[in-house]
Order: sequence, then structure tokens, then C-alpha cells
Amino acid sequence: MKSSKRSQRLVKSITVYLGLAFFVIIMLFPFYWMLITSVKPDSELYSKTQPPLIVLKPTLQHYIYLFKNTPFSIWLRNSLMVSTISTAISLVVGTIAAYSLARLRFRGAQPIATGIFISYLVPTTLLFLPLAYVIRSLGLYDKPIALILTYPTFLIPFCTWLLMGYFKGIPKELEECATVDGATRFQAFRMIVLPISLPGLVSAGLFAFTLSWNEFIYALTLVQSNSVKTLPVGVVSQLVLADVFFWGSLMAAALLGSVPIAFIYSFFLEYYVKGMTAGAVKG
Amino acid sequence: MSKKISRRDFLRFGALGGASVVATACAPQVIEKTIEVTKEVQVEVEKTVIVKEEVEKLITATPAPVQTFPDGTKLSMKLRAAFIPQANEILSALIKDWGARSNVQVEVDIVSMNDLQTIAATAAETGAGPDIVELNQNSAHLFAEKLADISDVCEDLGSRFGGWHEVGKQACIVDGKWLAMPRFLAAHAMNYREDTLGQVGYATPPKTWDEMLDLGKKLKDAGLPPIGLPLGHAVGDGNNFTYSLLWSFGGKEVEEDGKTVAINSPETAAALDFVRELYQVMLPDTVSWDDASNNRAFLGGEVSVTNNAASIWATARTAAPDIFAVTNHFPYPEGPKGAVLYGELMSQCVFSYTKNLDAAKALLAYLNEQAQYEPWSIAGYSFLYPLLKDYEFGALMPWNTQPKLAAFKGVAGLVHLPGYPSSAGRPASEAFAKWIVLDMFAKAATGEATPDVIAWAEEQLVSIYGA
Amino acid sequence: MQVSIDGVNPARSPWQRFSSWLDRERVLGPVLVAPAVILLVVLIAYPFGVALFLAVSDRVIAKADSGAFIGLANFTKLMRDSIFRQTVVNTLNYALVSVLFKLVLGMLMALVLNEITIFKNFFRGILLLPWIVPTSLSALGWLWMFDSQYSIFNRILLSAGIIDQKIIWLGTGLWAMLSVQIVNIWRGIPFFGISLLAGLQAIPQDLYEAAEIDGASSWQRFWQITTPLLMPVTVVVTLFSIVQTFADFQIVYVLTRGGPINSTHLFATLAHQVAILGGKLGEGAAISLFMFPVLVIAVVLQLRYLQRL
Repeated sequence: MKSSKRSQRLVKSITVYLGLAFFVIIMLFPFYWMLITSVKPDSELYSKTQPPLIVLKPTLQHYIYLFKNTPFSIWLRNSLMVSTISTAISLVVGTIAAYSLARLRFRGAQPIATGIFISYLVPTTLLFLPLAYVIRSLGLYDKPIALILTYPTFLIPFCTWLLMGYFKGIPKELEECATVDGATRFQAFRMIVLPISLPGLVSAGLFAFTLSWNEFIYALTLVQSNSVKTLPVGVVSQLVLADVFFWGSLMAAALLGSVPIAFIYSFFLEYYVKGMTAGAVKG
Repeated sequence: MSKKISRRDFLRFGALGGASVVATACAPQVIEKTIEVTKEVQVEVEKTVIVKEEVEKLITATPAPVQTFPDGTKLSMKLRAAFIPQANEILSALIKDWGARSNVQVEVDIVSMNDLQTIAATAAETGAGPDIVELNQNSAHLFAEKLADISDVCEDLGSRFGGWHEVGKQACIVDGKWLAMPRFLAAHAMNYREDTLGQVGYATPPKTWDEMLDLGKKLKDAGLPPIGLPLGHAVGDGNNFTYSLLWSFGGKEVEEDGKTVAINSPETAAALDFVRELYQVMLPDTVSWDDASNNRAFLGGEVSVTNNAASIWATARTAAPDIFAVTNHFPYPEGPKGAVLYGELMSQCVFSYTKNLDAAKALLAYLNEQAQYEPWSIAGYSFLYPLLKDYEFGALMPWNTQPKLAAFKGVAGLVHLPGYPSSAGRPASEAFAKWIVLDMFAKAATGEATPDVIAWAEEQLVSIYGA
Repeated sequence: MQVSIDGVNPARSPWQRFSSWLDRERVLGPVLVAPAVILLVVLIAYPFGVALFLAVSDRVIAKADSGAFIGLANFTKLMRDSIFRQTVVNTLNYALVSVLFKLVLGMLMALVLNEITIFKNFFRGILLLPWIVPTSLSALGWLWMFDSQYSIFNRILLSAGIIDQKIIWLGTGLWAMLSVQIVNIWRGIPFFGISLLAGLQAIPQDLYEAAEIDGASSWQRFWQITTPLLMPVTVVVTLFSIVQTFADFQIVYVLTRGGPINSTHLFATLAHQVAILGGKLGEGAAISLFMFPVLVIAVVLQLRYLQRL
């Protein structure tokens, strides 16, 4: 009886780890390929006789090119700055909006909530040109703030949605106790609701950060200088020269633009999962 | 990004060419060829170095006099990147130098063409963006209302350097005014391998499309790398191939009036039937090709002939030395109507919202003076083909010094823009952006019946030109 | 001191009065939601209105005398256009197939991630990578992997003897669509995986224990406990993904530009081609708007579902 249970468990964990191996291979193979490409000298890159999956004479030339011949580090800095600030803005604005819509009764709350959901649907490819008029008339063209202001338009709806769900899951009694003790609603929100919502904030924050990190079309059209450009636009526009692609440096850039972020994410992941749990499940 | 070009860079530049040629010596059958090539390359490299030293001198020692501007004058510009980093570096250095001496703060960004079009369209539409943008084809006609008149500088250069090629005028003159200055033609030719063509009796490369088909059959029968001409959405190479083929067969999308759709003709049908037959002996991958694919296919030894700028030859030097030794170029073949070719032209415009029109014009004039134009163009291995007639004859221009680039010579006089024979207008750009001609050929190549394909193209073109 | 929320105590300072006024629900609610509303009105609603206006006009780029009202002419013209009709089919195919695979594989990934015990966070972290790397860059990586001459997949499949002739990934309509779908699926799986994992972890363990005592097989437990309890998060994530996939741009733009022969054009890429490259802003806006009804339906379903909970 006991041994059959043990063998059952063994079968189960073998299945699980086989499944894990499957996912690790299909999800990470492209990254392995990027890594290999980024350290191959050009002669190996275009060779048909050498085994493609290994590198014979690894080189750092593509990485050196990236840092010496392109403003890669500036793009990286810009991306970090724009993503961080627009995420922070969206979190603050989204949090208070979510709290208001989830907790407070006032006229118009329902239509506003629906409006915020729907604004998530408007595709950026439709908006970027009219948005460029707005940015121009505000005099913000080619300034980092053009992106810092526009990114929240697709971040806030998501943050609000996720956090509304989260706040609904927190028992109302907790706040009521606080208000009875003399705190205002906002104080109760700040001292009671926010601390226990940390996982929700983290997951909304990570999601928002990822979306801004990835954004392309606004960054292409609303700013132009290298001192303001973000990583995806900078890399693509300067490493694809006419009909020659700088594969090695492109792949190096893709790796440098994602692996460090993934590393940071892994620290927050526990929160992220918890946050999604509460937010998404309770809707 | 812009940095001064140092002597070390020149040497490295030269050394790369040399090293790759030495590596070729491993293959005994090409040793003879290699020795020749080595000489050629050395000659060319020496000449390039001389010219570049002249640039260096120009930048550091004997600056040409320039006009100076009041403090706080700023310009920003977006230019198309050439595939040769050295050419981009020379350009940045020239601009930086001009900026320093003219008291103008210039921010120059050299980017890929795809992004350039989105940037230009947004700038034209919203009235905010770079002062100077490099436009492709006849975009000056699209953005005409938003562009500054730069006739004076264009006409001055034209009068001093033998005049502008017709295609440049077509692209840049709108209602009698120059709204952009022609910058360069991405000169095209057929790239071929001397070794494989020699093996099937084409020591002299084909001159007509019929011979091309014959060559294709022979290559295929012999099991040698076949012909590969792009039929995917490749902005440069795919359009170059298909528009040229259509016109050389006498087909056209529209009459000269720019209104009457004329695609439904026996000539178009003949061109489509031809491409269907040609595709049978081509590499089937060609329907997926983007602009970079034929470069890789050629470098990888997968094809014997493809149409391209000189970028394959130039890259082969380091990436595939054995291919480099046997690569040569020949002009596009002729059809029943001769060689009526398509040209990929770039021009530089100044948006009328600029606050520093005079500085912008001064910069454009400076960059397109022979002294500045030549070194940059030479570094481009004929990819940066001039549109001022006199520049073609420069003793150091690649097609005059490098026998293997001779096929590019004079190409600027043969080419036309989308919409030919009508004058370049909006509908032609739209048909171009929608890939109508290219897709028409791709459909025919992959088996759709000629009448159906023509009907499809006609329906599309009528909706474009009729609107 | 006892503070009544609605009572006004005349002895208090103006600040205190203000803060108690602010503390009323019908005041505090709108105040807190105002920043979000203002930002979205200025930067979404207004541009959206402009886009609507463009869609019913004959506006062409950089031409001041264009932009006359032409009613639904752009839309009726599109309906007759064979390229547009093909784009509709492509977009539906792209979105529905991709989302289905993302859902199934994401669910499997969540189940696996829920069970592993060693290096749990490490694996969760690295499996998120496809979702973190900017699409424009990963799509270039895939372009290189699908290259007609150097495709690593072809080289592996050929040397393993699975295929005897190379696949031209981006060459024929079917393969090209499949290729862009593969990239979209690859990129989207981690989002599903991690969100569904969150859902799984929210299911109380004692439900499973009770079911096990009652003798339910693991299959039965999956269908009768996991599936229904996971439904809310699944619905939400799926609908979000549908919205995103319908509006996708970068993958197709980088890999095929809509080719070969328009067989991979999506609404967004066609709109860009027509409006930006072809200069017809009105028609481009109309193309972008075509997908809007689908998305609205998705969101209405989502809201309905969430309200029912």
C-alpha cells in the first residue's frame, strides 16, 4: 500500500520534471540561440559546415561594438528611467482610483469603471498619430516626459483592474475599525489597506514595468534624440543597417535587455504570484 | 555617436580586406583569382585611404570656410544608415565638424529606413520632429505642403556639377520647386558568381531576361546554386526586381496621365508568364525573402545570381572570403523594351516648421559639395550612388577604380520611380506601399493564373488611382 | 475625540473642516479617481475621438485641404477590398489560434510550476523571460531562427531526419502564419502560466485532500475542483490576451511585413501600411477601428462575468 503510493508519487514527479524540462527547452531555446549568436564571430555565423549549436571561437566583439559604437548604455538608462517613472505614476494613480472604485460609493462610479476598462482596448496603432498631435501641442515632443505621460494610458487601466480586485478581497471591517478610532478614510487606506496589498502592488508594478519596457510605437514617434530614445527603438533602428543585420550585436542587445530584468523579477515573483492570485481570482 | 575618424581606423579597415584575401588562399582552385583580387583590393584600399586622409585633413587641418550662425542655432536630422559603418562614421564626422565650425548644435541620428518612414510621416502630419529627414522615393510629393523650398541650394549645386539626374528631379521637384535634395541612389546590379556561371557556359553573364532564364535552367540542371530574386516583402530588392521586370517587358501600372490604370496589357501578361517560368528554376525560398535574405543566401553559397546593391560583395570580404573572390556584378538584363530600371532613391528635405532654415540649407549644401560627398560615397562601395552627374566621373569613385563594381556605373541615368511613366504622385506611393506590383509577381510565380493576377492588381490599382 | 464623519464641528480649524469634508464618500471617491480619469480623457479619449473623426474622412497625410466628411465610405471601400478581407481572416486566425495554444500550454506550465519543489523561484523567473524581452528584439531573434538559409530549426530537423527538405518558414502563406503564431504563443505562454499559477495557489488544499479521501482520481480532481475554481482567472487572462493579440503589431512587422502576398497582414500592420506608408490616414484609421467592436464585445463579456461572481 505504502510502496504503491510512493511509486505513484515517483511517477508524478517524473512527469512534472519532464514537463518542466519541456517548457525550459521550448521557452529558453531562443535565448540559448541568442547567446550563441552573440558570441560567434561573423565567419562562424554564416558557416554552413560548422555545427550551429556550439561556438568554436567565442568572441566578445559584438558586445564591445554595442557599447563602443552605439549609445546602448544611454538607451538602457532611458528605458529604465521611463519605465520606472511611468510605472510609479501608474501605480499611484491606479491604486487610488482602484480604491475609490472598489470601496467608495459615489455617483458615476460604475460608468467610470467601465470607461477605464474600455480605454485599455484602444489599440496604440490607432492612437499614436492623434497622440502625437496632443504631445506636439503640449510642447512635449522629444522630451522624456512625452513617454512618461503616455505610457500610463495603457498601464493605468490594467493596474486599476488588478487592484480593484485586490481591494475587494480585503475585509471592510479592517478599515472600519480604523475609522472608528479616529482615522480618516484616506488614512485608513494608507495605513491598513496598502500594507496588506503589497503583493497586489508588486504584481501590478511588474506587469506595468514589462509593458513599458516593451513599448515600441510611441517611443518611435514621440521622441527622436538618442538622449531620449528607449532600448527597443534604439537597438532596432541602429543595428539593422539597410540590408545588413548586425546579428551578433542585436542578440547581445536582446539578452542584455531582458536577462537582468528577469533576474530582478525572480526576487519579486513570490509577491507577484500572490498578487495575481488575489487580484485576478476575486476579479 | 559621431567620432573623429582616426588613422588607426583606416588601417584596420584596410587590414580587414587584406586578411580575408589571405584566408582565401586555402582553396587552391581560386589562388590565381585571389592574387588578382588581392591586387585589386589593395589598389582600392590604398585609394580609399588616400581619400580618407583627405577627409581627415579637411576635418582637422584645412577646414573649408563655412558660414557661421548666431549662438543657440540648433538642427536635428534623421538620415538613413548605409550598410557600411565606415560611411556612417564619415557622415557623422563631417556633420559634427560642420556644426562646430558653423556654431550650430547638430544632433544627427543615422537610422534604418523602415523607422525613417514612420518618423517622416509623423513629422509631416503633426508639425513636430527633426528639421532634416531623409526621404525615400517620391515622398517629397506626399509631404509637399510641409516642406521648405530649397530650390536655391539645389540649383546652385546642379549648375556647378553637371546637373541632376532626371530621376532626382522627378523625386524632388514639386510644382516647379525643389522640396528635397536628391542624396543618393542605392545602385543595383545583378550579383553573380563567376565560378558557377562559368561552369554552365556563361563566362559572359546574360544580357537579356531570356538568357537569364536559360542560365537559370542550366544552373538548376547542373545542380549548381540557382538564381534567387526576391519575391517577399523586401522593400529594396523585391521592388527593384519586379518593377524593373515589369517595365522592361513594356508593362506599366498607369498611363502617363497618372490616372488611367494600364496594368491590364499583353506586356504585363508576358512579364507574369515569364516570372512563373523563372520561378521554376529559382530558389523557392525567394517568396519569403526580405532585403537581407538574398545577402545571406549569396554569402552562404545558396544562389549564383541575385539582385542587390554592392553590400554582398562588401560583406563577403570578411564574412565569406571564398565567395568574395568569385563575386562580380552585371547590369540588369534587358527585356523586350530594353532595360527600363527601377531606382531606390533617397533625398533630404527640410520641414517648414524648422526654426533654422538657413542653417539647414547650408548644411545640406555643404554635405553635397564634391569635397564632402565623394569620401562618403566612396566608402559606400557604390551603394551611395550620386545624383549629380559630374560626381559619377570622380577618379576615385568605386565604379571607376574597382573593375568588379563597374556594372553600377551610369545606373542613375537608367532608373525610374514607382508609378512610371506617370510623374511621381500620391497614388504611386500608395500602390508602392501596398506592394501591388511585387505581390502581383509573387502570385504569378507561385502559380496563380495570369488573368486572375492581373484582375486582382487592376482592382487594387483602380481603387488607388481612382480615388 | 469622537469624530463624526458627516457632522461639522464649528470649533475646528479650516484644515480640519476641509479634511472631514474630503472624507465623505461622494467627495473622496471622485477626487481619488480624478487623476486617472483626467489622464485617460486627455491621452486616450481625445485622441480616440480624433481617430474616429479621421475614419469618416478622406484625410491624407500632410494635406491641409483633405479631411472632408465622407461618412462610412472608408468602411464600405474596405469591405470590397480583397487585401482587407484577407486581413480580417488572418487576424481572426492569428488571434484565435494563438490564444487557444497560449491557454492550453500556459495551463500546463502553471500545473508544472505548481508542483516543482527545487529551484522553484529560479524556474519561475527564467520561464518568464520570453515575456520580458522586448518583442521587437525577440522577434528579430526569431527572424534569424526562421531564416530561409540559416534556420536552426531546419538544420536540427534535417539532421534528425524528421524532414528531408527544408521548410521555408516565412515563405508560403500557411507556414508564414504558423511562424508568426509560434512567436506570439512563445511570448504569451509565460503570462498565462504565471497568472494561472496564481489561480492554482489560491485553491484551498483541503478541497483536494477531502476529494482524495472520497476516492476521486487525480483526473476527476482536476476537472471537478481545479477547473471550476480556476475559471475566473482563466476567463480574465484569456480575454486580456485576446485584446492584446488582436491588436498585435511588432511580430508581423518584424518577421514578414504582412507578406508573403499579404497572408500575414493583421489589422495593425495593414493600418500602418495604409496610413503611414501609403499616406491615407482616414482609411488607416478605419482599418484600426474595425477591430474595436470585437474588443468591446470581449470586454463586455469580461465585465459581465466579473459582475456575476
